Amino acid sequence: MSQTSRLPQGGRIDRARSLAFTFDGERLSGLGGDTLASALLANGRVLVGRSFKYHRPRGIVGLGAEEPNALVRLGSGAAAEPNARATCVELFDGLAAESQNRWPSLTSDLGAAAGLLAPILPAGFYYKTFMGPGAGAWRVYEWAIRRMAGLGRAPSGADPDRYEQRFAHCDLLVAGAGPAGLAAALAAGRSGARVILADMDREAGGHLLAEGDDLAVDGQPALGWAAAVAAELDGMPNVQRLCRTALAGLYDGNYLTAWEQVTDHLGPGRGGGLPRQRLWRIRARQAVLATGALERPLVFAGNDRPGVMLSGALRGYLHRYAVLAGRRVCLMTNNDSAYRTAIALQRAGASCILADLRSDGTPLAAAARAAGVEVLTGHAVTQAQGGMRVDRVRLRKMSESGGAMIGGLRKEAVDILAMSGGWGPNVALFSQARGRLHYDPALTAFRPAGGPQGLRCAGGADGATSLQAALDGGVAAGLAAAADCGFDAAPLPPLRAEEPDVPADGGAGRVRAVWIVPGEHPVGRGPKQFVDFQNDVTAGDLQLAEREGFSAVEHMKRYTTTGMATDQGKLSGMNALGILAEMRGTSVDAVGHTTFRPPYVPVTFGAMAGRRTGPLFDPLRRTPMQGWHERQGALLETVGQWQRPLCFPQALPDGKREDRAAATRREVLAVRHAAGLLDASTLGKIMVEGPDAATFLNRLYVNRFDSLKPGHCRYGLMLTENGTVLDDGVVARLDARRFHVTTTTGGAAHVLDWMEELLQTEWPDLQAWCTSVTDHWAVATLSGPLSREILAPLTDIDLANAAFPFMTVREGLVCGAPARIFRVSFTGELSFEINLAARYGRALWDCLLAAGSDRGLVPFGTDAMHLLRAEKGFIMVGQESDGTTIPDDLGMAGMVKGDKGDFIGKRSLSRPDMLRGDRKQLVGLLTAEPRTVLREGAQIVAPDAPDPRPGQKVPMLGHVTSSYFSPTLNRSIALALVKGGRARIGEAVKVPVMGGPPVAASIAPPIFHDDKGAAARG
Amino acid sequence: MAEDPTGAAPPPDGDRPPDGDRPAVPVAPPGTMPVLQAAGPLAERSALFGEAVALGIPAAPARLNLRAPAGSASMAAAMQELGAPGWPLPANRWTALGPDRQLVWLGPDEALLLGSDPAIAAAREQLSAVLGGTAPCAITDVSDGAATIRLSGPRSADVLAKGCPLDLAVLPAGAAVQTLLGHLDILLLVLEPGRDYDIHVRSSLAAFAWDWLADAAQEFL
Repeated sequence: MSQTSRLPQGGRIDRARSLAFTFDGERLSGLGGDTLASALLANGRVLVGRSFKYHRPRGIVGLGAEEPNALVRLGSGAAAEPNARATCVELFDGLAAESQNRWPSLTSDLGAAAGLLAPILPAGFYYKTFMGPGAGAWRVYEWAIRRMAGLGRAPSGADPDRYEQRFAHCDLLVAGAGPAGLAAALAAGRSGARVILADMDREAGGHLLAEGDDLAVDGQPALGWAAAVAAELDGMPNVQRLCRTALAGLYDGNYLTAWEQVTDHLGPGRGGGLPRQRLWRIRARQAVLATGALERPLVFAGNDRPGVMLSGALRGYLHRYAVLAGRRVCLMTNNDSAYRTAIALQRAGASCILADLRSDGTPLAAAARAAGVEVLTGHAVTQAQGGMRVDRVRLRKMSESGGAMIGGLRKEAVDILAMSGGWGPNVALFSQARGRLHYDPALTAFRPAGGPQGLRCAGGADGATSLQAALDGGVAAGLAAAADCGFDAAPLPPLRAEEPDVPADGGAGRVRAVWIVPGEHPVGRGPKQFVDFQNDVTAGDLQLAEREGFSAVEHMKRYTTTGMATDQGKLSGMNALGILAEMRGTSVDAVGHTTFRPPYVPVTFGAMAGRRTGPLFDPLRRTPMQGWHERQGALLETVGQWQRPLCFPQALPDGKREDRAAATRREVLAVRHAAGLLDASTLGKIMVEGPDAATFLNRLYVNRFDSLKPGHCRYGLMLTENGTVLDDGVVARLDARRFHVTTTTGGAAHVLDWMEELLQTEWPDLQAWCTSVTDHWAVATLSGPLSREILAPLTDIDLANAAFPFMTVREGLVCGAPARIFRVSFTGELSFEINLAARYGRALWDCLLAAGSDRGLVPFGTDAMHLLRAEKGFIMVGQESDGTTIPDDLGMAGMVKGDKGDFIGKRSLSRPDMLRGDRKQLVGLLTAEPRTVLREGAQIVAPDAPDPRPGQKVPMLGHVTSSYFSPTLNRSIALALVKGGRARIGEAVKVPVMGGPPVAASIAPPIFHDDKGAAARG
Repeated sequence: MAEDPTGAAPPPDGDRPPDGDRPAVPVAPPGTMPVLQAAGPLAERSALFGEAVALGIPAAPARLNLRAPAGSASMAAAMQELGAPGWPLPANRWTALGPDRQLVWLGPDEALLLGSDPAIAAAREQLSAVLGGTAPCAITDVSDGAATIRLSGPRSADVLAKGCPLDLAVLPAGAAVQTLLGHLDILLLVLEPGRDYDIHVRSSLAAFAWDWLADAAQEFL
């Protein structure tokens, strides 16, 4: 018989809907409405996993997001999800879950041997224990520790699920749909404010879902009220209610991230068209945090045994899921709330012993005794015993001071031990947003004490301990937030709560702070008393940290890793602070607290990535000719967001395709001897226009532009304020006040920003404007000795050398479309840079290729372009230059016109360091062996320099910036920056090579082909 | 001298005739040139129609980028000539100037004039008639610099909200905002709030923007 712990009636579950699932391969069944945790408990399963460090058997402790132990792996293969909290996993038919951190099985785990090693694994053990022998020892230890440690295993394949993200805006964001959150959303929603109400659960109610039917609001059962409010909110067009949505982070200015599990509850592949999860980025003018309160565990010997649970969780499993997790239940508490649990369990058929750490009892004891609960005031459980499940507790009476045990030992057989260490406001989000907290000794917890603007807490999160207080706080916060957004709210009639167990004053009874329950052994000696279950941190570890001087709260956290697990210390944080305060003999307020950080619950990487995967990972820019390149099978390289063709490999007669080197060689030779066509659409293009355009360019570039005649082009060099090379390109003057400026492909956006910044901040008096036309023009560069013959029949522009000389620009028609043609050359050959409106780019490309096919015209890529320009010694910014290169280093000092007035970088060029004679200068480099191609970036040393050895300093003369095998010269060529290089031309140098003999080379002028530049001018 | 692997056997360097000996290059006689087919950056994308969301490609407008100082009297006069509400234009708004011209505020000294090719050609003439050749302004043809995608349907704002950080619910008809769509810079024109939007995006990124939107619309189709 399955579901042995399920009661025959009650609960918010669908008994007609039986759901089959497996846990560690075992077939089990649950009911509609179950979580994986409630279904496991219904089947009598308490043991769910092994702990992180000691591999101790662990069971379900909590009811929701606070769960530290019940981390399971869901599904299999690529869709598998490690570290899912069973308490937050809605059960679906076919769910397959596996326990983690165990091998070969949950009940016989070899890793548990780590428990035997516990004496050598104290806090900070890896700093102390694994020190030697030898310097490399840590690497061996680390390998072993990494295998042992860690939570779960990552899935094996690419995530098959779809994740969405979206932005949202509201006047008021309410976190939590418990009584306070519902009241706040209702109050603000009725005022007309735009409200988003987000809650992790599938239905509204918050902690009411875990309570019995004895709570009421305004005369109707509390959950009925909650459902009615949720329905009213759902009917309001200004309110959006998000279910299954955890608020993960709260940042400055009420910017929040929320993690919605849209279809996880349906099971893999059953989401229809909907995504699996959705990440929300929410901007809220106001926020009300109604995130409730969390119950704390008690710290005592054996408190991590499976079957030791939080009292409120046990009550929740009973009321919401009709699961009676145990029949013989012991409860230990320091406050009144466990009495509710005991009475409910007793009525459901369990037999309960309640050990109240307080010696003076409570008025509730009478009611509990009347229900049949055995109440022991001033008693404590000194130890929980059992292997895979708690089976016995040891009870003793505590001294008045709480410091020692007195009286006889009583042993009781139990199957569940419930604990309640008091309730603390769930202030994680509030504190993330830098809300201030103060310690409230009556609550024995930190509570909000003044938040940033537009942020309020309500209900349990604000320290409310009764339903009435939660409702009142929610209404007040909702109205105040709406008013702050400018909405006149009609005051909501007060909501009236009925709570049987709450005294008239609304208090939940006195809480006795017992941070470590005294045991039969000193702390750290006897059975472990766990503070942080997920990271296996014990009270003894905290003591050790304090003894070793890590007594500041942030030090203790890091030294012991308390609160640093995936549960972010939801259960352990307050206990650790209390213990630390006690050890230091000071108040909890004086100890302070650690920083709460996002995310409140772990968020999947899938949700953070959203749709930004695969082809949508990063924007790709396409030229008008891109489709042609792709269909030709061009090899592409990433340049900024562009994908430029490196080369266009052709099919060979044997059916194979050229490799990259062969294709590049063919393309280079075609340009040198016939013609080639380059897609240069990616070049940055900026129109600079206005009466002061020439003045502006004069100040921007090192050379003059006021002297440039209309219809002419000039190569320009642009510096940073430090005098180093920023960008280069050709500037064409179209008429007196219009310039067509080109930049490097990668520098386009930066140069435009730089121009705008200068015009707006430095020279607002200049009447010149810059407009990006990069995307407006398609650019096909026709280059090679035959390019004039190819282009001539297609244009009405006279291409004759006299009519259209080198370094000029002409406007006319190409194939009937308006064109702007620049006679400039980056290859050293006769070239026409044909600019046509982008819409004609693709057709122009086809047309030119067709026109040139019988003259040997071929498309060429950036590989060939780089090679061709290197043969000519033309620099590429970023390749021959780095952040330190000035014009003189590149041999361009002659371009710098000092007589034209000021320009950016001018002053810096006269600094002593810029005038040094031994600066690195651009030179050519020819290897002694012509087939050897140097590596770009390789260092250059003197020919008699010693071979590099450890400890041996070798003076470096410079480095190789570009290096190729030149098809034109049939030998290798390289460009290099060499100290005082221009004076060294002809000298021999040596280029050390890793793992081989150094390469002998000689310094040459940085131009290898057509040094008179005749071809380009032809 | 390396050999040419293509076998096209171009004349080697030494055999080139000197410049003076070259025959004069003929100017192409009119009417003999091939005519180029125009194709926008979305030529290979086809419209998506759904009841909740539709993605369409409106007829590609011509675009003129206008720059002038915020206080420019000559540009104000030119705007008056076009029927526009002065210079600078109302911030973060676009205005319809008759049936086929739209004027979009881009900044205190910048605007974008959109319209059919003839309408923009006519506008250009009107502008130069007023501004002449010396007025302190810049008028730049950026017709092919951007593409327009029309997003429409009752869930169009939900599609936009997946990548646009602005509060779309407060943008009225006639709003023009320069914002983000995912990683893309876009110009967003609100035609009908919550329903019809024109998204202007750089031509080179238009296909990516389309694919992004089509993917975002998937759950509503």
